[in-house]
Amino acid sequence: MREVNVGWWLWLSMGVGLLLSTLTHAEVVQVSLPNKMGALADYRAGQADKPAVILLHGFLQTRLALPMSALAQTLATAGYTVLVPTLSGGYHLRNQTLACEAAHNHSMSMDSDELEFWVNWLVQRTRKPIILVGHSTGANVVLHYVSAQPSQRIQQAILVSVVPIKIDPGEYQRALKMPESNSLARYTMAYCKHSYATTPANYLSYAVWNEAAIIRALQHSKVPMSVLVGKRDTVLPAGWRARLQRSYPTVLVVPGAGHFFDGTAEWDLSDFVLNQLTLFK
Amino acid sequence: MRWLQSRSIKTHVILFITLLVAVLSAINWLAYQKMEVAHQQINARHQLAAKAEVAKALLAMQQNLVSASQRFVENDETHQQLYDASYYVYWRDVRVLSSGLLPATVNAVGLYDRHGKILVRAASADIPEVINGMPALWMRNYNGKLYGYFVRQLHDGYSRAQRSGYALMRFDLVAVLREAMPFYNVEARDFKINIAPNKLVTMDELSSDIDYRVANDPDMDVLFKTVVGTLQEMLGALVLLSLAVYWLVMRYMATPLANLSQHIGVLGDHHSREDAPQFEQPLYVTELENLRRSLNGYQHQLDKMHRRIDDKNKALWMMAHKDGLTGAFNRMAYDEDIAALESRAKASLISITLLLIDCDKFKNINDTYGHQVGDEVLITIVKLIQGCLRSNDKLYRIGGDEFVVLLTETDVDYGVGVGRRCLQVVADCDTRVLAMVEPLSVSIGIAHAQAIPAEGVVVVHKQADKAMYHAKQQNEPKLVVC
Repeated sequence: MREVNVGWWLWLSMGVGLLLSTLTHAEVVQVSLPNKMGALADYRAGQADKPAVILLHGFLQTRLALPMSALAQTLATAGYTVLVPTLSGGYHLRNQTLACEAAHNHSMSMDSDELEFWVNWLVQRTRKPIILVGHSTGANVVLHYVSAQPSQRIQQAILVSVVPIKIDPGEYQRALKMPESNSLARYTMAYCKHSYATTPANYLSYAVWNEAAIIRALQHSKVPMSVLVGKRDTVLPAGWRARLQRSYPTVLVVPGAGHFFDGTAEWDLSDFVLNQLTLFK
Repeated sequence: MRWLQSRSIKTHVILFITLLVAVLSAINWLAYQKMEVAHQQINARHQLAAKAEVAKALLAMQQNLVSASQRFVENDETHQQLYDASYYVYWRDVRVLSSGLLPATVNAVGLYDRHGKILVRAASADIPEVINGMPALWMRNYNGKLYGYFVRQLHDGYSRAQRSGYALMRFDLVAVLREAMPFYNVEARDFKINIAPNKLVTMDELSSDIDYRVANDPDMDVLFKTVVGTLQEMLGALVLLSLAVYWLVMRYMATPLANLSQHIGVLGDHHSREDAPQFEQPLYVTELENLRRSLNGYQHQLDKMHRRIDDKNKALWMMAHKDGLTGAFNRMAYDEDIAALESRAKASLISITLLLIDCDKFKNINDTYGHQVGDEVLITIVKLIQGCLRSNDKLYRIGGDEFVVLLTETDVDYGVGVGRRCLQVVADCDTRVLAMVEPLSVSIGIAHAQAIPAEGVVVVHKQADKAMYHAKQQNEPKLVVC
């Protein structure tokens, strides 16, 4: 059996306890989106001389999901203003992770619009430079947003575990044949295997974000981009990390990190983001 | 008790066994009755416990419905329908009723706006379109099926502070009630709820509509069955034991005693053990066998004593009734026989013939040859006369040289014939053997009566005496018939 280092865990527990005692409590912001739908976000006000950060969660997750929730706490503790919204996913005041089988009445453009809403909300609130951090498919939303008409306040975007959405080619072709249908159908989307219930148009809005689209968006981005991927990320398609590095050489690969940068990789992520943020005082 | 004193051992054994079986059966029956009373008391307690359990189950059902529907009422997808019902049917049929969000016992749901009006008309008509004024929980018999209808409030917003609508869940009433809690006193499988068709029943009214069966306590049932079975087995064993005891007592005690008793009775009916029936069956019981041996010993000794007494009696009788010199019957015997004959004559006619015999010149013989020769003469005459008589005819010596022959049921001719034979044998006697010179002769007087006279035999005897006197007076023949 593997020997457990009790002393190491003891120090780790004490450290976590000390950290938790200094947690900065988030304010839950409830807003009404332009389409009248309610949306929620965690907001932590930071120091005046430090930029604001928007952290965007991954596929069907909420603002409470890792690694963004932990990163938000770290950044807030470091004095940064942090906003962690929950993309509504077409659900009024969504506060829970969505199931694959739930009726998904949302699209990439809706997600991007919501991100734009929160950017504007933060601009109005702080007037600070803003750095966007997106995780997994949240990175795709950030890419989608910055590829269009991003706010002048956006100083940089950091993409963590950016990944082309896994789809079924047959379903994709079938969706292309009836993009206007409002009927729900089941698709393969990321980890949802033939169970993601949505309309063809909404499905296609995400499905088009394949490897080429991501690389193209990176290469034509209107804001500086930083990309961070884990060396042990098993969610990434085979060869994607290498192709990404070839197309976008500044990609940083973190040894030992998985898709969610859990464990000790969490510190690598926070160190990387904090390091990036020091550039914007 | 007096009745018992004269009964056979078989009767006593049967009585004892019957009494024993009756007493033990009564004890058995009392034990069974006590078990029955205890059983009834336990059942009564079960009834009360069952009633309380059903009431508790109804409360538990309500609480279970609240907890089981908590995820449903807090679910973002549920709240989304109040905001946008575009995919209400998909949500209802796929996301609620088929996803495990609610228990399988929930078979229909409906969402209502904050005013209690249904968002989308339900497929089933029993789902009300407006729930204002309805209780939070009611029951109904719809199309022969028993449903419960449970309504919960939905609250909007992150803080859930404002009521945004209502959710109705229709559930299988019996199934939910069965699963409400573990039942120990009620057979949950046998719940029957009697609600009139289409009648709405509230929780308060429901308890009176539930029919239930009190659960059997398997341990208690096994215990009671075991005890009752044991009592029955004991009763059976008691009967078998009684039969066995009866057989044993009859075989080894009663029958030997009866045989012994019979043997003693037989021995009592026989003067001698030798002529009594043999009794050789084994008695099995040592004491009885010893008793039989002792009894046989006593009987043997008694037999010997009886034989000795008989011999002495015979000797005494002979001494009293026979002449010591000649061996003929004596005067006492003659008198007793005459008295007996006279007694018999009172009942029937008896003919009688008396031969009175007297030795001629006996005094001269005594005087001439001496008394010893005289005695030999008398002995010889008795022998000679005895030879002329039938075996049953008696010869009496009633005086010194005087003899009587008593013949009954004969006529006078027979008597005369006997007399003549007597005269002849005496006359033919060789007196030289007696050391005498002259021959012997006797005189015989014969009297006959067709019936014994009222005055007695003595009358006949006197006639024979007279005839004998006349015979003495004449030379030949020396026989006279009166």
